[in-house]
Amino acid sequence: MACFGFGSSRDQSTRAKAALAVAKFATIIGGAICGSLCFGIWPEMWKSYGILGGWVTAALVISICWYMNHWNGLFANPPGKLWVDQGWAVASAGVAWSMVRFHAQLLAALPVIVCCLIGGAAAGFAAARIAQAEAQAKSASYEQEAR
Amino acid sequence: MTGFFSHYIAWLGMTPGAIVTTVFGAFCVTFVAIRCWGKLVDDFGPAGGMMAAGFIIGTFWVLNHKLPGFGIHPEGLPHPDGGLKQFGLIYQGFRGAAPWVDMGTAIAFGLWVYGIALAARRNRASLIVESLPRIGAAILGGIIGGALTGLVGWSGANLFGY
Repeated sequence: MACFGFGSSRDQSTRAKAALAVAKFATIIGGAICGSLCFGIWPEMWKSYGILGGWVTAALVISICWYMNHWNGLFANPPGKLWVDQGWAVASAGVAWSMVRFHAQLLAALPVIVCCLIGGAAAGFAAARIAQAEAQAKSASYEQEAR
Repeated sequence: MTGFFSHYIAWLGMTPGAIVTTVFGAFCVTFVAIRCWGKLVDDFGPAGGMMAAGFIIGTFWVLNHKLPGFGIHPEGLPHPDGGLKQFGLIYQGFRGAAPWVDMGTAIAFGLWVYGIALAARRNRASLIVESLPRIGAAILGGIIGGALTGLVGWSGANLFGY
């Protein structure tokens, strides 16, 4: 059968491709649910209960979405690869929601998005540098103990 | 100094003060999420991650995203110069005029940058290329969910003024 292209190796590669496609489909579903929950519930809770409503919504919505998307592994995050957070879905859902519901102009948000990316990237670099320094200090102290 | 920070830059749609607070708010929530979320999951398991949702996202929602008046004055408190006062660190354009920018943008991008910065230099390009389709899937999912949720406004529903 292998000579006709129905061999097990081709079968496995198609299966792997199908699994990858399903993983991305699962990411789309998880992102859609997370974005819908955030912007369907958050504004109404904050308008009804004020600051406490917003805090409670985070505890309710983000906790179950994190549990489904990241603990339960609905988002495609293979080990050893860069982390794809449900924050991407929340970010795009916020923009899409306000564009559909309030006919907001996409370009009006661009400067704020850029500021958010700068702040996030700065925090990522800082946290990575600190983590590297901590790892170096740890290995240095282990070497000292070994002596 | 106050005059400089509150001077509205029309082509940008922001004041310098809003730029500073947005970058600072994005930095704070991303740093805390990177440092504490994984650690809480290590310490308490899935319950730690669900705690982190309240303690990190909930608490930083108050810092970054609260707007004045809701719950007490559902119509919002008008500013003498027009528009609404902003108390959250992450700036939002006047409601309806500019799309909502969520701190999830900063957290997601920060975690991605964190992974790149910790990776070995020679692996970085392949890691980035591998992650782009997954990021695209997450963004596409958010667009679908957000746009479908936004459709409720087309039914003429009117809750607390908008």
